[in-house]
Amino acid sequence: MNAERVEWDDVAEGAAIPTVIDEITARRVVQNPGATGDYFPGHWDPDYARRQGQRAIYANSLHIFGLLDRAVTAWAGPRSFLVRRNVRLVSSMYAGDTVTVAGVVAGKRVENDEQLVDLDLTMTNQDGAVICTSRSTVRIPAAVQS
Amino acid sequence: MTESEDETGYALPIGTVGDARAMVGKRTPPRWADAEVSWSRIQQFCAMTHDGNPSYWDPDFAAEAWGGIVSPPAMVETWLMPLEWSPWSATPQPRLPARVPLPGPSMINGSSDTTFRRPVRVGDRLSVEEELLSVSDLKQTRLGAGHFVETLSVFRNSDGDVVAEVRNTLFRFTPGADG
Repeated sequence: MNAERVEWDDVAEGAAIPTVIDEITARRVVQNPGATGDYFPGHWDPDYARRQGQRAIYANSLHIFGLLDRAVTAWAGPRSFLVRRNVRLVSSMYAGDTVTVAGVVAGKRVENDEQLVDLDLTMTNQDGAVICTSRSTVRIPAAVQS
Repeated sequence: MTESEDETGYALPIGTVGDARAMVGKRTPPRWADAEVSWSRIQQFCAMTHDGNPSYWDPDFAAEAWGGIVSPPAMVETWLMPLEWSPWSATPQPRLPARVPLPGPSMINGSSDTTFRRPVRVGDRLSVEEELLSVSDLKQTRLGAGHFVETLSVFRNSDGDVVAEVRNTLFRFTPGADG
């Protein structure tokens, strides 16, 4: 398993973090109610979704948040701790979409002896349309003394 | 709207903006999760997001790093999601954001600002207190006309320590309707 992580001294404002690209099949959208307990019909009933004005069933917010967090902690390492995630949902993540999560370091700071990195994340679909943006803040542990 | 006509299954109550605003500022009593945080559900979630973080998969790593397998941050609301059925309730008992009376029969999430205070581990049992912060005037969006509903949810662990605070805004709307 991936135990890579970024080192504090290497965190540079403006640097991009590795992009996450994911195919959101209908199968994965339907995994969501089982995994999260959210059976709102827009997440599994295509007719309901269309009546809502949506083009297909769409993932719930927690699935979207999970992909944003995956991009952050895959970069920051498994010992990092997500401190804050401030998301604006712009459009839906639909079954059939291929989504990309891109992130840029907005800044780093030390607060109460904690090393914090702010990231600006954008999730887009295959047409380049923005699904959501997030300012996420992650705590990076001090280097392990060996 | 009667419950039988409600397609969402969450029985979104219909009412006026005044009805909704009368609920602002009242915090619900703590509601406890139906069950403890479980590794099985964590695996289900990470199998969906394809998240291979060993904090969710590797008990030895997680024990050393966190004191046990932890819940992905995006799952904090999952642990308080109402069950579809239980011996005590034939229908899901919705969380506060779905209990606000408004004209729109439909809802969709708009924004979410979460602060995480501590890790949530397998075996923790969480509770949530919720509060309606604000209800907007009627707004027009591409989906229809409706109201933005802002709520605060405070999640605590078995020790009473706050693990996360979620400020959420959802849109309650009438599909296709003009403001």
